[in-house]
Amino acid sequence: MIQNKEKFFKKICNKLRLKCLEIIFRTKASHIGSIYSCLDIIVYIYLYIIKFNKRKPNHDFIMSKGHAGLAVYLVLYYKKIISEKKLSTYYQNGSFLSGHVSHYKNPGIEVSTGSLGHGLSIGCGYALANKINNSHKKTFVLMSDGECNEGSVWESVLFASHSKLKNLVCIIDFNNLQSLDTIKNTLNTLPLDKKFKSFGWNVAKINGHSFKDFLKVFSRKSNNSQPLCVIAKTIKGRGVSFMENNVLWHYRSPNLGELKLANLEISSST
Amino acid sequence: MRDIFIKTFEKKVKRNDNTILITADLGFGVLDNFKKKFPKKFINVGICEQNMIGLATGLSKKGFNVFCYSLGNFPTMRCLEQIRNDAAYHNANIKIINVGGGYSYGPLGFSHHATEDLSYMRCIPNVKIIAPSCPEDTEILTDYIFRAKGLFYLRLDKQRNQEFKILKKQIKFGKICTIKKGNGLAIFSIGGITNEVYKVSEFLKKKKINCSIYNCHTLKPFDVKIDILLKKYKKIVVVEENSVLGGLNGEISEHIVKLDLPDIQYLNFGIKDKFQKVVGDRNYLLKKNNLDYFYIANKILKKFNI
Repeated sequence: MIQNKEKFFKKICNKLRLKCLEIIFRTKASHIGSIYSCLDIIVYIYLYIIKFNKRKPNHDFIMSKGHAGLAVYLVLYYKKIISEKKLSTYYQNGSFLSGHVSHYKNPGIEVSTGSLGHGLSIGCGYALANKINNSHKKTFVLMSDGECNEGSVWESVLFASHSKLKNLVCIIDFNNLQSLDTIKNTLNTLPLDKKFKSFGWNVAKINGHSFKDFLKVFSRKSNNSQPLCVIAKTIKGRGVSFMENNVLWHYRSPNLGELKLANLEISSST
Repeated sequence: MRDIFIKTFEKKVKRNDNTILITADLGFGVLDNFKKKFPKKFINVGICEQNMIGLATGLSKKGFNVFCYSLGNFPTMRCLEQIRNDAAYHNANIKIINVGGGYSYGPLGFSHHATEDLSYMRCIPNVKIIAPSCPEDTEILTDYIFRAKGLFYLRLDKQRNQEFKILKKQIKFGKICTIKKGNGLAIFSIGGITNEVYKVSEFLKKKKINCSIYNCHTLKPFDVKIDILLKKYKKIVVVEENSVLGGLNGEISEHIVKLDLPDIQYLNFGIKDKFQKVVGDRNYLLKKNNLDYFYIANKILKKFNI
């Protein structure tokens, strides 16, 4: 049963990787590496956690890692909340689908981001509101590991623990690369898990591309009132061998030859 | 003004309403009563202004009427990107309260001189800016922003005396308030320094000059009536406890240029484009910036040759 679900899940992720490849190639937009590292997480959240009722979600998701916004648009396209026609306008003149994730005229998206370090604060606001209102809603915030360089992140990490926001889940897309170099060589924020733990959070470490790990971590029950930090070990550029773990693909878009190779790899993967 | 704000605010809050007051660890002795009366509506986020605005954005999107309380540059400059990207871009229902505008905290030094805020806040879309001049407009405008939805910046200062009279019914958000009607010469001011402007007018009266005084408590959105008012005068003076760059001076001179008015004589007074390295109380620092009534009045006489 799980194997079938996992197979189906992988099929969707691959389908969206292909769509992403075509869009990035056509638009010459950046961040394909960043999108590929967090795509699986976002697919899981929107397909298996969030349910929409008349375009209103039962849980909230904030994409703090705004530069991978296309990943969110792709998942909403899969859910038929964003049409094929609208998706084709991504990054183009006059489009509401900006390079960094945008909420304006985009149902299914809560918050516009793009400058790192903002999303978790807003997520704290959501979680606190839900706590005050005795709502069962959960708030999920996806951040990048590089994003943890920002001081504002730690203001909200302190606040979430202090305020016992157990309905808040922060997922870190931990692909170990920033825009120029590795985490360690840029500004060493490791070990992230110990840092969050020392700030009072519950911490779980998972494989950020594993359906089974998502299933386990997002269904776990907490025995305290602390928020949860899920450190998802991912691979930047996941799914295309020459993109994986390569900082070049933070900004670069594929040329025609690379497009064909990548297409072949993703299509033939199971 | 701070005490009037607190008093008015506390009166408006109801136990079951959606008000939240967030402070960034300030308000000692001032917010105690509110905290005691409405503990569930009070949040001290600590010295974390960026988180304060992000938090406020999230809360407001979930239906809360959020007030963010701090002083000086902390509730604006420290978290300006959060104000722009989170609060303003999402048109959040947040009221940012600064209880120390201008040189209110003069002796504390340059870090506590909020002397550019009217300029930079003016440039951000969706931010409505109010700087009251007296207890009456503080009360009316606090009442207004409590009821209104949107992003507001309320800049209060430590002006204590008020030598002019103003009726509460004269005060409306977004409308220039006439304090004195004269002719030929009009002085536009904003904030507590309006009292100093009144002293200017009294000084000029002795010289048989009957100037008008306009209290521009709402800097943004600015009253469109300004275009009509500017056409009525040949001599325009602007006074503000803010940088000469970009605040009220910016607003009014932009209108003058747009209207292409011939023969206007213009004079503006504000805080010079340089840091104060010495300290002093508000009055002392205002005088250092030529923002005292004696200097202003005499400069007007000299420049306008009257």
